[in-house]
Parts: sequence; C-alpha cells; structure tokens
Amino acid sequence: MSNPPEEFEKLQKLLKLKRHEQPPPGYFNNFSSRVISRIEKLQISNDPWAKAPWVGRIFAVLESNPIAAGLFGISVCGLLISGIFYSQSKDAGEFSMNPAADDLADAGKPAADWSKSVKTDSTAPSVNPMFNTNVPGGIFGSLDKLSVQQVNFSPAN
Amino acid sequence: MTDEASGKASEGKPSESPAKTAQSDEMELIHRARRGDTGAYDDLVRRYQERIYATIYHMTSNHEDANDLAQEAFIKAYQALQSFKGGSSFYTWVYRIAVNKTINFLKQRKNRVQISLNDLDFNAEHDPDLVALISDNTPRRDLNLAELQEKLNAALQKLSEHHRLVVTLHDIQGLSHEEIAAIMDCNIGTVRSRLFYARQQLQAYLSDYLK
Repeated sequence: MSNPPEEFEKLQKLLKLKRHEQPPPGYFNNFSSRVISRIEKLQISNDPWAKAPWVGRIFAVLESNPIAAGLFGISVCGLLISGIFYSQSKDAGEFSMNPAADDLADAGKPAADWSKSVKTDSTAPSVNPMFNTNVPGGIFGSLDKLSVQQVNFSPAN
Repeated sequence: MTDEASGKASEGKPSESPAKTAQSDEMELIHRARRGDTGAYDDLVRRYQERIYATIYHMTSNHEDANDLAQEAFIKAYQALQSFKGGSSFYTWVYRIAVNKTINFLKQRKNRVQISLNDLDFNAEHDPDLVALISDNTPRRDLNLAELQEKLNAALQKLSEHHRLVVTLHDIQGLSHEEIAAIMDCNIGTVRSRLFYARQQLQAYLSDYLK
C-alpha cells in the first residue's frame, strides 16, 4: 500500500476537521459539577452511616477530638463496671434471704403436703392435640355428655 | 536573585518556573482531593475535562458515549486517587484511565457503531486548509463540510481501537510520541508503527476525498 506524500498532507488537513467538532455550547460549564455530584452520591450510598447520620457525626467528632474520644471511652468503661457491680450485688441479695428458716419450715411439713407439692399438674396443656383433653370440644370432649336411653327392641316376626 | 518589586536580593527559595509551580499546585490539589476535598478535585477535573472528553469523543464518534465515559473516567480516577504514586503526571494517569475505559467500552460495543457527531464550530468554515480541501478541483468538490465530517468519522471507525487511538492522540490532539507511549503503556517504536499503519489505512478509506 503506497500513498503519495501529497495525499498524506491532505489527510493531515482533513484530520484538522476533527478539531472543529465541539460539544454543545456551555457543555463544559457544569461538567465538573456533574462529576462531583456523582462522586458524592456514590460516597453516600457506600457510607454505612448514611441511614443514621447522627452516628456518623458522633464518630466524626470522636475521630477528630481525642479528648472527646477519651471521655467517651471512660464513660463506657464506667457504665460497664457499674453494671457488673450492680448485678453482683443483686445476686448476693437474693441468696442471703435466711436459708436456715426455709429448711426448718420444709422439715415440719407432712408427707402428704410434700407429695402434693411434687404432684405434676395433670391439667397442663399438651402441645399434642391428640392428648390435649382440656381443649373445649376436643375429639374426646363429647363423651362426657353421652346419656343412656332405653330402647324398645322387639325382634321382627 | 533579585526581587523584582524591591530590587533587593531575596533570601528565600529560588523562584520556580511556571511549569514547576503548576506541578506543585497540582500535587497540592491531589493531596487535598485524597483527603476528601471534592472542591480540589473539581479544580483537577476542570483542568483536563476538555482534553479527556475530546479523546473519548474522537474514539467513539458519539457525544453521549463520550459524556458518560468521560464522567466515569474522572469518577474512577477519584476513587483510585490513593493509588496514584506520582510516578507519572496526573494528566498521563487520568488519560490512561480514560483510554482503558474507552477501549473496553468499544470492545463490548463491537460492531454496534452509533455515530452521534458534534457540530462543527464557526471557525471550520474559515479554515483555509479545509476550504482548500473542499474547493479543489476534485470529483468531490460539491461536498460540504458536514458530509466530509461524516466520511472522516466513518473511516476512523473502521480502524482498530489502538490505531484509532494513536491517530487521535497524535494527529488530532497533537501529543508527542513519548506522551502517547506513556499513555498507551508501550514503547515509542510501537506508537510510530501504529501511526504509520493507521494513516495508510485512512488514506485508503478516504482516497476519493484526498485526490
């Protein structure tokens, strides 16, 4: 493929035409702002705190202010320690309700009472509908209402 | 070194050349943009938006595609700003992102070429080279500039992406072989051979209009 040099010069001139192709007037005036708004939208959609901006603001304050971060850390630790002490003191209070008196009271009870106390509750509902007799109108519930009636029976002649 | 205003010798740093000042100013904008300053990145986009858009437009011959791809290239550059080491200029780096994005887009688009050309500016009609080209005693002297524009774009779209890119960067945008090699991540010899081949192809496609 050999092309004369004058054709090459004309090609160069023809390619100059491409430099005159311009986008609509004013196109570049707000091009950068469109790019920036798309970047900001992407940042918001990727931000885990976008749905709770106040959390993000708190973290931003903590990140930028070491004193605030220290105070926040101390208050969290204080809450944790006070919570532990509170739960321990509550447990200790429950166990210290005069256990000796309870033992004496149990020893004086008759055996019948004991058996009553350990008797299982037969009326406890079952989760199995076949054995659940407490269900009103259950499958065996209608047997209680059966009554005996006399029937005159005479064999046919 | 004397201070021009006072005539006294300045004790500070020697005055920097405008190019160096612009470069350090650009690095400052890059540092600020890395820290999330979108205003600084807005300045960077304004610096290169026209050249990036034009490259993509000449590659795609479609204004809408060029608009989308140019925006996406700048968005990708912003997201990858932390990885910009400063080994090359920011301009070359953004160019490379835009070019790679465009070539990937063109490969996906393949044969579905949709031309949507921008209008020629007022100066085109008064460009002596172009006037000479269409008023020569050629078989195509009845041709107007808009038709010539369509033929030229159609011929460019027949080139492969890499050949079209070298023609765009060198013959249309006026970049040097070295700059193109840096953008295309290849050696200068490859740029030269691609340019030679691409021009030959174009001359063959447009032979009727170059006689």
